[in-house]
Amino acid sequence: MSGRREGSNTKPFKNHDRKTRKLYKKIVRSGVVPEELLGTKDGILIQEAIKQKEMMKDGWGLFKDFIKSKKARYAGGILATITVNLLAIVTPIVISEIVDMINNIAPGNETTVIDRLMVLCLILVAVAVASLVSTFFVRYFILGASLLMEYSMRQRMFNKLLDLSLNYFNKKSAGEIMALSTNDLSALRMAIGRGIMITTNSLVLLASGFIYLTVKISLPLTIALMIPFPFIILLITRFSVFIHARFKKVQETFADLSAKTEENISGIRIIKSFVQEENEKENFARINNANYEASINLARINAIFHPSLTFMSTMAYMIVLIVGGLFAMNGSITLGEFIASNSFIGMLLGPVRFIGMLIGHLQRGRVSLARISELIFEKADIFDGKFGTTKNDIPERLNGDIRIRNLKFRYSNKDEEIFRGVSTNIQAGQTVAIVGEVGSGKTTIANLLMRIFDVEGPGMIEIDGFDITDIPLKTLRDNIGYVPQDNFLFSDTIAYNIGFSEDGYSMELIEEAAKKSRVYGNIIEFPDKFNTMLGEKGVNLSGGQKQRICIARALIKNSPILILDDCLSSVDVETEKEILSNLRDVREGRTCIIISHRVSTIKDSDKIIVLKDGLIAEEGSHDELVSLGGIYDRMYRMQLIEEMEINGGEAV
Amino acid sequence: MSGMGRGYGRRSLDQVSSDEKKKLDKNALKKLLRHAVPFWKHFLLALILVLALTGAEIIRPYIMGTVIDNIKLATDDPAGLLGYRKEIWLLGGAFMGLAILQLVLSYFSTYILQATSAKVVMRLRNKLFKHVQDLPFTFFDKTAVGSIVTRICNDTNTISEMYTGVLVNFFRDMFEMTGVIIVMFLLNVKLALTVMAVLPLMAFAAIMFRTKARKTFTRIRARLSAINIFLSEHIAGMKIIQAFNMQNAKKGEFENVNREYLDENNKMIVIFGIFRPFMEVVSAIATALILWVGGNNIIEGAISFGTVYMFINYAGKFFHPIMNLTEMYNTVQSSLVSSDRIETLLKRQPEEVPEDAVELGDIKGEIEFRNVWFAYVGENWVLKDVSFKVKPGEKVAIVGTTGAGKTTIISLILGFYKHQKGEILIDGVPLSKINMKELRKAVGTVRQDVFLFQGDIETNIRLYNDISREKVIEAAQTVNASKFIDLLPDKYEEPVNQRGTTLSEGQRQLLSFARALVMDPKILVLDEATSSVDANTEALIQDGMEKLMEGRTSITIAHRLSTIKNSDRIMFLHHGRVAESGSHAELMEHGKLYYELYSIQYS
Repeated sequence: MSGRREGSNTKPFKNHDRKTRKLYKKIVRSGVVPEELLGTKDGILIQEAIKQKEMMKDGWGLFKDFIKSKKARYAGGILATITVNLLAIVTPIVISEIVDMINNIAPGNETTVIDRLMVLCLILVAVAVASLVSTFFVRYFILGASLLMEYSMRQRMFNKLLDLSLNYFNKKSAGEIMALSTNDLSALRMAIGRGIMITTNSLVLLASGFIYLTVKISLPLTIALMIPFPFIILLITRFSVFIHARFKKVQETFADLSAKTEENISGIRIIKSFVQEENEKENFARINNANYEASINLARINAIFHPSLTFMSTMAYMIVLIVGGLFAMNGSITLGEFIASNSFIGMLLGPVRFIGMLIGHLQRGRVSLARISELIFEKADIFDGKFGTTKNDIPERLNGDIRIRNLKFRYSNKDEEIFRGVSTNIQAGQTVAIVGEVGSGKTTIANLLMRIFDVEGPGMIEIDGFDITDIPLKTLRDNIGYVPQDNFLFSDTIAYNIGFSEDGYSMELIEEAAKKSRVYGNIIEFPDKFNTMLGEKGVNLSGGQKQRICIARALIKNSPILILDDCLSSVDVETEKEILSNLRDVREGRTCIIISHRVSTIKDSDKIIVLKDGLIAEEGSHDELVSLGGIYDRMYRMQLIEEMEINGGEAV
Repeated sequence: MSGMGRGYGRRSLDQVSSDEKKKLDKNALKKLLRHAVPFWKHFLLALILVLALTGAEIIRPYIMGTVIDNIKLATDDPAGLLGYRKEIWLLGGAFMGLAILQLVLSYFSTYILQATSAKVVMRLRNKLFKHVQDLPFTFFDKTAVGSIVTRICNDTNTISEMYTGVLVNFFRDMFEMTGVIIVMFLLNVKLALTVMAVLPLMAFAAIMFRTKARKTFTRIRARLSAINIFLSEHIAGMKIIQAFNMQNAKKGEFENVNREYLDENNKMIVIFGIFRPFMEVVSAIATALILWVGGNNIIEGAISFGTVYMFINYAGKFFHPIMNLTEMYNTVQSSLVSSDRIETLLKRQPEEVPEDAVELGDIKGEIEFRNVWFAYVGENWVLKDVSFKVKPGEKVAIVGTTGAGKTTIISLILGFYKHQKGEILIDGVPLSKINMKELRKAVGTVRQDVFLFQGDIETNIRLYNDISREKVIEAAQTVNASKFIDLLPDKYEEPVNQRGTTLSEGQRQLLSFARALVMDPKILVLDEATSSVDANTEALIQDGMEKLMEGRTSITIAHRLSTIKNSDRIMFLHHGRVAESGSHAELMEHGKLYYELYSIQYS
């Protein structure tokens, strides 16, 4: 699946001819889509390419800033890398010294030679130990920095998420966001950790190796053994294109495979109903086979590539063997130097072989960085002062007098308007119920009041005469106690969930809120009482218990406005009555908005609002609406049927 | 191994007692390798090639060592220079020949190994998919889609790493190690023993590293999953966080989770940062020892420079497999976990075909429920003592409030669940004696939520059955689906995506009618969609439905008035019981539940 994402749009115009491609690339550089292309398929492609480019630019900026902020670390890392490689050169030099020393031994000189041999051997071990220390610092500085980058990017991503409105979360699935935090961040870490480490290492090693070979050993030999290198680089760069293409094919067919499996399992009810199992087995086998074929294709090229690379490297050894051997026989290089150049070949081939891996790391890192920066630079769409200025003279505590004027609203991911002009007044202290079919906009009203989503402009909702877009977000939300429909609780203790606030509440207040929402009795039955952990690692509460904890969480805020979003559906009728009677005391002097399907919950409200097709269809008290004989009355009577007691099969 | 089902991944390996683990390793390894058995010839061939390759690898330092000795001889004896030069060219030629041989050998071994592994994985995937297709409904209710997909697609991939990365390489490494040891002892016993001297140090470091690294690695994984859990929870709860002004507190909480992951990773850097170079130190010690002992011997004239060179080289080759084996351990562990999950899935019992199954032949379409009781869990009865009989060709509508058990009746007829008490009979044959696939072929279903497959309109109507285009068009015309299909740019070839988002609710309904009709079923079970559609589409749907039901036994869960009126009989299901049953007129006369319901909808 990640195969589809990876490297997408790196060549957006590959299906166009050369001339158009050139033109479009020029447009992308200019950053402005010409009018005649606006809205066309090509125009959209160009637009995307421009966006991609900007993302890359943002990503590059992030990267540069980070490197700058970690200058000292990287300087230390590079210094350590240079040390490691200089030490790496010492070993062959020492071996060459030893060989030549022994080879040129003068008779009677044995003891001095053996003493020196001892010293040189000890130097070898000492060099390895010194290399251990510096390698440690290379890893610590460079890989450590990449971890810090991952850490800080992840934190910045999460902080940004907290500022984004639900519009963003409707657009991006949780899975996509999680993929940013796992796949993309780890690709980025690889690129700036291993990527940078391998790059600096290779450069230093290549440079020092070649310098030593040319200066100290022999220029002609160096030239001779360099012959295979261009071929090796050509081989790697050429093949990496093929391999990448075939690898992508493997990933694509794999994505098809999992898409097919996903579809099959999701639709298993239909498949079984229509007895399509055998056909589906065939379909799957076909796609599975395509994936197999793609894997075989990849295997074929892998089987050529790696052995050829080894072969080319072996050629370098062979050149040393023949040319170096002949030189050594001539006496133009010593035996020790011959052996040393043998070791150098191995050292020089290492970095070259890493090129393919390095390119892969860097490419993936670049694409991932762009995706990450897209989130980090995403603009928050709900903030103070969005529609002008935020007023300062707004009291911290409001009264809860709500006016809705000709409210129009459409979710950004939907075509249809959810409100086409809703107007109503809710006086401070009133209890108002909102009913309506699924999708009629009941929860949307709550969302708009809290500015979880934003109205299209000012002038539609007022609280205490202030337009809600003028009220600071924090003040607005502090003044609303909200009980959600999905009884969402965090995997933490019960006390944490009830006292869910930045300032925190005292234990007394938490217990009091739990009592008011009739959940206290349940809580103290747990061994850990209010410290009981909820969620995956802790206790699984029943739906009703969760709802009551959510109510406690809203009540503790003691806010002038309370919104209950269909939050009593999972408690039995008895408990509902109790909670409602408790709420009656709490509701005193508070504006309360109750969204519900259950007539029993809302019967006693001061006012009931029935939403339908984006408008208020009915509005009034229970008695008024029943006598009206409309939607509400029908709903009421349906519920009466449900409650009817009928015994046994009563055939007619 | 029981009880290690889906939750296995969450249990850390450390929690499994070492005894239990060993047992798991032994059995699981056997099972893991079982999939390779049909291809043992391929794997054996790959192994032979790889061993030959390793042999060639061992010869290479020998050639180079001989070259060194020749150089030494040439410099000591300038008179014979010409002969030694020839020798160099010869050795160079041998080196070249060896390289070509290696090229060929490794081409074939790589290809055979990767291709065979791909084949093993492909077969395993097919096997798994086929197995899953025949699993009963209850399995799909309890298992998340994602986890089944992971089993079939990803776990099989993990296993393939076992075949490509471990199976053959293990033997290669063992072979390389023994080969090198033998060559070393043949060359010089004293030097060979010198190399062996550092072996304990090497082994000690490798084992230390493995234990340390594994523990840290497990912790890193746990921390990463903590981050994931935190993120997914907070993305889901974003509305609550914002509504309660908790953004700043949450930033701090996330920082802690994030920091813990960073800390563990830093530990890993330290472990790797010490271990890898430490191995280098050990190998440097070995080199120094060889040079010291070898150097002394050269001075004494006991051995040549070439031999010392070979030893330095072989020492490296000797340590290499030890490092490899440590890394293989991780691959083996993760493939064992995957293999275990796959085995658990394969162990699930498929939907059974009764042994004494009665051949239904041409189904007439009679359905009877005799005192049927059904509960999804425990004693939570959804259907309580339900009895009714539908005659062939009869049209029955089921009405009732939500949760009365209407959909359950349909699921039972299709054999998706087994009822606990009573009997369900089709044409007088109890369900327990019917091959469900045979029955389902005779039953057409229309569900409330129409599931569409990726493909085009035509395949979504005929599915993958061998049905001609003409018949598809005919069916679509009969149920009024052709009216919108003909307006699509590519008509029956118009692409449809999985969620079917390009089609409207009503269009999807009509499509599902055509799908049911084209199979020409004897029995129809329909779950009417509740969603509101415009009046025009409503009329089309109504008309299509009537045509679909013509001449067939049908059971409809009805929401629309007209459906109710046209049916031969109406059953009012109330809290799991058939509360009222009869024609529209009769039930209206009765004046209770149905009457109430009807008057609500009608007024």
